[in-house]
Amino acid sequence: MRKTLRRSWERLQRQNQERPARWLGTALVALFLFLVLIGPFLPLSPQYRSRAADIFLLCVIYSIIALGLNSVTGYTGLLDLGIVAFASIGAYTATILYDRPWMQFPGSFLVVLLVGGLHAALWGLLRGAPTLRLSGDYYAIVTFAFAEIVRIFIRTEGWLTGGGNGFKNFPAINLFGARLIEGEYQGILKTSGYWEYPHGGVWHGGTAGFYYLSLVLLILTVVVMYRLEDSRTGRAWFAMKADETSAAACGINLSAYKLYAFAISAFFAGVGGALLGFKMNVVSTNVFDFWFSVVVLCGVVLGGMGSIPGVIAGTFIVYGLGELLREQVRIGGIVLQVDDRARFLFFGILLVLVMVFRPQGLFPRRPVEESKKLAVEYDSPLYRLGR
Amino acid sequence: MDLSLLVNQIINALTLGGIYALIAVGYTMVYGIIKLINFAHGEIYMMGAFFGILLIGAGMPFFLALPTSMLLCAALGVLVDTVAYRPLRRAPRLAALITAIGVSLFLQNLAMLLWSASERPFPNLYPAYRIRPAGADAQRYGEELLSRYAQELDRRREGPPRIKAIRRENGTLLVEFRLGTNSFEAIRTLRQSRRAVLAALEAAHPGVQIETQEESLDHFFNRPAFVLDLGDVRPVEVRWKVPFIWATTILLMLLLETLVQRTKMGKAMRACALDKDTAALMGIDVNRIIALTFAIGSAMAAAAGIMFGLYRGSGIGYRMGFQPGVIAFAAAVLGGIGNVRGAMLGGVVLGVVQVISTAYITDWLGISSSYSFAFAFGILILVILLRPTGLLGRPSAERA
Repeated sequence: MRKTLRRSWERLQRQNQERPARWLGTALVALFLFLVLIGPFLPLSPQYRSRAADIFLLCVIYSIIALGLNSVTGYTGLLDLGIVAFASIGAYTATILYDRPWMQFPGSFLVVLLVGGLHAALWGLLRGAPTLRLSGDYYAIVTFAFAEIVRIFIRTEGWLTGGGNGFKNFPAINLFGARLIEGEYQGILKTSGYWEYPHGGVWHGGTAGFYYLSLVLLILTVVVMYRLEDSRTGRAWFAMKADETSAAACGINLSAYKLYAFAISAFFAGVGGALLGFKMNVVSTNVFDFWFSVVVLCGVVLGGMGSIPGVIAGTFIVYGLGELLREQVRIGGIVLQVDDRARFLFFGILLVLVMVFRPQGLFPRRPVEESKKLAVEYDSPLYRLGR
Repeated sequence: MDLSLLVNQIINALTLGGIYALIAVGYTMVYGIIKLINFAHGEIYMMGAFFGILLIGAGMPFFLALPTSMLLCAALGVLVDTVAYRPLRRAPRLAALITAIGVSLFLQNLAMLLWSASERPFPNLYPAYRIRPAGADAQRYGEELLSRYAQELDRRREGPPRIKAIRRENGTLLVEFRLGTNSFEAIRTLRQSRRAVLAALEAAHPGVQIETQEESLDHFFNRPAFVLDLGDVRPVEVRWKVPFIWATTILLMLLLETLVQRTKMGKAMRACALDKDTAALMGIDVNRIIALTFAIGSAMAAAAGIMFGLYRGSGIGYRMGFQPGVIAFAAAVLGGIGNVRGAMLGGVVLGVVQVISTAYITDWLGISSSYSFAFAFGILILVILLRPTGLLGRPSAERA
């Protein structure tokens, strides 16, 4: 045991001699994790504290959805432009179960979230089954068309979904005796799907309990994703992404593993969508539209497709930036504020710039073989000569 | 079944289908050469409509504004290609597709910031108004009122907006503004003169009022070209703008067909679509040909945007490109992506499907007519699943 520890410590030191920037990176990651952990209790003035917690909560929830998207787009390499379909199915299912008077659903909040996710997963399978042999652009277009059909259905069938207005103002949510969301808020619902309150600022969506519930769910998602990556399933996905024909020749059942990826993806998107609906206190097609998919994809692409820390970092950057752009900045006597709707302009520029200058994303996944090769090379005298 | 309604719907469907076909051509040409779904194409269409509005609003005649807007959009298309797509020629296809979404997002929001988020009407190309005296004493003082009104307008004849003609027609006054006048400005001029006339008359004849009525039928495009009486309550009335849109669409398609099939440039384009590397070895400047493809496709989209504005007369907004863009893409896939004639056929077919499903099928199935777009998407999915090469595509064509 001691021997192993010492060896790994020595290796770490050696690496640090060669790449001193590592310490900085580790420190930054630790600081980021610490900030996320104490999200609702940041040492700021009360107004800014609730705002910061609000932004963190939004990023945490979107990270769950983004990780869901990542399990199709990042792992199997199929571009999904319709993740919003599953997020909205999850959100509508959960809120209908929880909120509609005629429903009388007996389960607790967690069960509601689970059912929302499972319903989304069912649709993930239903959408996935006929599209198994598609790839590339055609798959992307089918996902997109499916999402639009779901949206048209939701907008039209008002008896079930509230039509274009959707639902808002959900009742209080309790879990294990703790109050998660206060319920019954008074405020103005903006068309962009955000509440604006008379005292200024955007509402902080719920109590610290809700924040930590979302965080726990995100951590669970991350654990599941890491376990999947390391499993036979994950390796099958990566093999399919590299080359479908060779993967099939190696005995990988393409259809089964693809369906598995679709279901996982839809499930996490559904759970995330349900959380998002309760957090924003509104579910409506104004929130769950095509651009929802695009912005989630933007986070995944920015961070690096297929890399779990990358996806989370990308999502935090995209949504954190999006929320920060709402804030007024005062420099001297000049007040700078970006038009609420113009934030998408930045997303557009961001997507183009990232794709042109760093198509693999900011924190790309390092392939297994390459990292092993590096470990070998670090030890070889040839490598040291090269330095 | 109401036969007139059916004929009207078919005319509507063909017009819409022509517009879709014009957009679809751009998708299919770009896809044919660089295998990219140009998500920003719908936005170019939107920009075309906006350029049209702005140019006509600035006083440019319609028949000049149409080609100018097409040229501007062609330049925009080339710019987008150079800035966003060219650096990614050798990158994975996914990267280019995501870039296209980014460009689409950018253009949409740029349009919103520049020209506000609300929808605009397409300018009434040739606004004309009929002025009629009303009120208790209209019979007695009408003549005097109209002559004063005519004098008042005559004074404003030169100042913006310019008035083309003021005519007396059996007890009314017909005011025609110059082609392309913004109707908002025209009404402002009329209101000013009306105020002046009434102020002068008020003391003498309090019983006279002025009625102003828009005479949009006097605009050439809005005049009925022919009327078909099929024995129903309302006869079918085809306005001039419909044959105009059809003629322009067909003309543009013929030009495109000639360009692609008969010219050296078209030959180069087809060569690039087959194999870019070999084409480059044969001395073809591939980047120039791709830029040219973007220019042609964008010009077609701009024409489609203006046709749409002319046809509907309203609904020009920053989001107008999304749905037609998607349907036109579906049309391109339906016709066999990469195939120009297929895109034309697919556009017309989808136009017909959309109109007929709105008018008849949703009703027949007992569902809401807002599902008509869902039909277009459903067809898109079915075509991709069942016949990915499309109606006119060659079966051997490479599937994406």
